[in-house]
Amino acid sequence: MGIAVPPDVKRPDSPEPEDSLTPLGRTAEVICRVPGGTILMTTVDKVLNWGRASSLWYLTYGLACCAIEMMCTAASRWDLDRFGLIYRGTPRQSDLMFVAGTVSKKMAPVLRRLYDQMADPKYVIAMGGCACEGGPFHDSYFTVQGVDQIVPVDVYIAGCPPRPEALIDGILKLQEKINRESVRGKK
Amino acid sequence: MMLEKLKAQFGDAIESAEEAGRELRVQVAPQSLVQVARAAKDEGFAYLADITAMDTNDALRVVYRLISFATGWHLVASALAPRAGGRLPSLTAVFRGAEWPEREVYDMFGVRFDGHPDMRRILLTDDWEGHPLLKTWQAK
Repeated sequence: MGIAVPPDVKRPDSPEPEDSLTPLGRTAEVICRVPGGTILMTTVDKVLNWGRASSLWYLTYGLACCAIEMMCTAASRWDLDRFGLIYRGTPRQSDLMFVAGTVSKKMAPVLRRLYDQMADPKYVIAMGGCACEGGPFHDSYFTVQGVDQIVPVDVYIAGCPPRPEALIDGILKLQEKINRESVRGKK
Repeated sequence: MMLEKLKAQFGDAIESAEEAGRELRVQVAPQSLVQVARAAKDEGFAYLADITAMDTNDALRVVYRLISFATGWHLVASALAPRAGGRLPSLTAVFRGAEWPEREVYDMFGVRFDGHPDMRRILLTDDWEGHPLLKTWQAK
């Protein structure tokens, strides 16, 4: 159902060159030069990834009918909270953005701005056909043909709209992807 | 009874009129549109449900649907505007709620409304070119 983008796929905005490490990443580079440092860093990576993957607070970017499925997934029957996902009303507290629905060209700059306001590390899930590639509004005069034209997408979920199970599958794919990351740069 | 009243009051400004079910359909001359709307509102058609338009290839027919909650009747008034650079008087002075539907008709069909307080596009971005619901509009 969900398709996770492999980490080596070029993202539209930032190809992340080697020297653009976070302060934590630079510290990690220093530690790795010390004998035995790399072994220490694998544990640090594990702890950080565990924390990041298990507390994905998400920005509810509900734009169309997919938002209903997203709300449904967050509610008690599918209960996203058990994966550590809690919805937030502000990008400043969010690690993940569900783009759930049709992105119109008027909404596109707003979406990009909210994405920019999120703190790193941040992830995007494109939920449903519209967010993935325009869906039924393919070739429409006012629909963005896939949200990956505006923000980098980590996981694509097909469906119109996807069932909650599909969304959860996409979230698990994202968690797998996060667990493969390292503070020494994404690999 | 409403039709006779309108015809008596506005004469030739009511270009055509018919009754179907609980619906009155009148075509109004553009210059009398505001007066007819005001008279209809005084007669109980106090709710402006929608404003839309259709492209008949010869002209644009802008359609106003008014509802009387007291009787359940609908009044469907329409007015013709030229396809290119069409202008009609705005109903915002009579129905404040006409503001956004008129902006939508302008956005989609290019009919401008005189006397409208804020004649801008509403759904498409301001730099958009053309009016996508016109039959001559071509998607790229």
